[in-house]
Amino acid sequence: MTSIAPQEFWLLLPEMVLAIFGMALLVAGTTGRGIGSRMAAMASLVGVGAATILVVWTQGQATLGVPILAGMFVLDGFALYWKVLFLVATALTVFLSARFIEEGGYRAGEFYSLLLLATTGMMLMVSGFNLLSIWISLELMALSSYILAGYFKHEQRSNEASLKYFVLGALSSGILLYGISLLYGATSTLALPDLSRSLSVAVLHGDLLSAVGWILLAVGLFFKVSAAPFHVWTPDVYVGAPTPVTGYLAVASKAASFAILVRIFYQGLAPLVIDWQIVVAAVATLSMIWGNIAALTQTNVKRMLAYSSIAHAGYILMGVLAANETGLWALMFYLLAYSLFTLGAFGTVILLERREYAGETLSDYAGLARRAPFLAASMLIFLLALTGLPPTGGFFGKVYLFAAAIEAGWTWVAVVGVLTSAISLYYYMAVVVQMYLKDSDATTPIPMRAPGLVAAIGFCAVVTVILGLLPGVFVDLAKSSILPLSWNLL
Amino acid sequence: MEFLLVNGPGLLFYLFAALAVLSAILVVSLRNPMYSAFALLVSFLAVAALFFLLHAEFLAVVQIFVYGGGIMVLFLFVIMLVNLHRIQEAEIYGMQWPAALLLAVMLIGLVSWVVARVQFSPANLAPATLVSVDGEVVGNVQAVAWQLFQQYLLPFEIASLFLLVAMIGAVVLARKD
Repeated sequence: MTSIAPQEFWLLLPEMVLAIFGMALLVAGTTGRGIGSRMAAMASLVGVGAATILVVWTQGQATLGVPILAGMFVLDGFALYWKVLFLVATALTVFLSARFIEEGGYRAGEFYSLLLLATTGMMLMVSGFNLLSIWISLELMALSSYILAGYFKHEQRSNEASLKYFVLGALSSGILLYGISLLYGATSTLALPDLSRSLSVAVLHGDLLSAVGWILLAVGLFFKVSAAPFHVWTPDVYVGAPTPVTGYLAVASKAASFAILVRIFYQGLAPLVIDWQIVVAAVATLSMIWGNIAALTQTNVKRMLAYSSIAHAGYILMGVLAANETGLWALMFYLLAYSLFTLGAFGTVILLERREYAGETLSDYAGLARRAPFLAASMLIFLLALTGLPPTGGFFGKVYLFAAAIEAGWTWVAVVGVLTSAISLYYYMAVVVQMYLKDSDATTPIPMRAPGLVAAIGFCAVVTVILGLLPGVFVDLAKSSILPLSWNLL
Repeated sequence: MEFLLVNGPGLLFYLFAALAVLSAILVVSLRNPMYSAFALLVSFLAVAALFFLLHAEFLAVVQIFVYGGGIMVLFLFVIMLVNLHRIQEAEIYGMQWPAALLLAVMLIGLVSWVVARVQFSPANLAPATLVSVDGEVVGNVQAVAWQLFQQYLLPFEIASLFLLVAMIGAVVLARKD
C-alpha cells in the first residue's frame, strides 16, 4: 500500500491558500451586512496573487512529472502553464465582476468565495493523475459554476441558466463517471499511466468493456468543453448567467476542461489514439460547422458569443486531434489567446450593460465608435482575434492549429476549419459595422465608470495584439512547459 | 443449544430475508403512503442486518445511515409536501400490472440463471480476511479506513470542499435577501 509522506502536502500549498481565501470570504460574508463588494474583490485578488506566487514556488520544490500523494497528484510544466492561465483568468473575472455585483445588489462575499473555490477545483484537476481525483475536482469546479450561473436569483434568465446547467451538467458528470467505472472494470486501475499500460493489452484483445468506457468518458468531456453535438446547454447558460460568470465559464471552465481532456487522452488513453482520433475529428468538424452557422442569425451579442464558443471548441479540438507535439503547444497557445480576447469581449459587453441585462442586442452597438472610441477600438481587436485575423493572437493560434492538423494528416478537418472561419467573418463583422458605420440616436459619450473594468479590457486588448506581434515568445513558453513530460504519444 | 450454535447464522439469514421481502411487498400494497414509507424503512434495516451477517459491517452501517436515514427523510418530506388524498384515491394497480408482472418474471428468471451458473465454493462463502498495513487481521471498517486515508486521501479532502460548496449553494440560492 502506498503511504504519503507529510511533506508532500506542502506541494498543495497554492490550492490550499486559494481555498482558504475562499472560505475566509465566506465567513466574512456572514458577519453583519456582509463584506463590501470592493473589499471582497481586493481579498480575492490578494488570494489569486498569493496562489500564483506559490504555484511557481512549488514548481521548484517538486520532482517534475513524478506523481505524489499516492499517485493522485502530479506537478509538471503542463500543470504549471494551465494553473497560471486559470489564475490570470480568475483575476480578470474579478475585475469584470466588481461593478456588476455592486449594481446588481447581490452579496459579494459568497460570489467571490465560489469563484475562488471553482478555481481551486480547476487547479487540482489539471494536476490530477488519477481519474478519481480528476473527477471529484471537476465536480468541485462544476458545482461552483452552477451556483454562479444562478447568482442573480431575482432574474428569471439566471434561474433558467442555473437549472439547465445543473441538470445537463449532472447528466454529463454521470456519463463521465459511468465511463470511468467501466474503464476501472476493464483495467482495474484509475491511475493514468497504469490505465494506458492496461489498455494497450485490452486493445490487442478487442475489449468491448474498455471501448464503451472510453467513449462515455469522451462524451462527458466533450460536454464540458461544449463541443457539438453535446453543446445544447451552452447558448441558454451563457445568455442567462451574469455576464462576468459567462466570461468565466467561456474561458476558465473551457480551458480547464480542455487541459484535462488532453491529459486523459494523451496520458491515459494513448494506446487508443487511432480510435479516438476518428471521434475527435467528427466532433471537431460538427462543432465548427454548427457553431458558426447557428451564430449567423443571432441578434443578441451574448448568444452570438456562445455559439462562437462552440465553434472555437471545434478549432481547439483540432490540436487534440493532431496527437503530436505541434498540436499540443498550438492548443496551449490558442487557449491562452482565446482566454484573453474572449474575456475582453465579455468585458466590453459588461461595460455597455447599463442595467443588469440591457445592452446586449446588436443595435446597442450602433455608433459606438463615436460615443466610446476606446471601447470600440478594443472590441474591434477582440472581434478580429475571434475571426482569426492579423495582427492578433487569434490569427497565429488558428494558423498553428491548422498546421498541426495538416501535419498529422487530417487536412480535410483543417479545410473545414478555414471555410468555417470565413463564415464567421460575417457575424463578427456585423458588430464592427454597427460600431463604425451605423449612427445611433444617442450621441452622448458613454462614461467609463469602472476603472478596474476598463483597465482589464485594455490589458486584454494589448496582450491580444502582443500575442499577434510576438507569438514566438509565448510559443516557446508552451513548448518548454510540455518538454519535461513523459507524454506517451509524443 | 448446539443446533442453534451451528445453524444460528443461517436461521437469522432466513428471518431477515423473509422480513425484507415481506416489508417490500407491504411497500407496494399499502394504501397509505406514510405506512409504505415505514415498511420501506423496515426493508432497509432488514437488508442492513443481512450485510452484518456477511461481515460487511461498513456496508451495513452505510445502509442504515444513507438509506435508513437520509433517503427515508427525503421520502417523508415529499410525502408530507404533496397532496396525500389524491394519491390515496387513485388506483394503485392500474393497467400497468401485466407489464409489471412480465418484467418481474423476467428479472426472476435472470437472477436465477445467474445464481445457477455461479460456483459457490466454500472460499466464496467465507468472509474474506482483511489485513491491515501492520499485518494484523482487521475488520471491514478498518480496511475501508486504511484505503480512504492512505490511497484516497486527496480525493477525500477534495470531497470535503465539494460538500462545502454544495452547502453554500443551497444557502445562497434559497436565502431571502
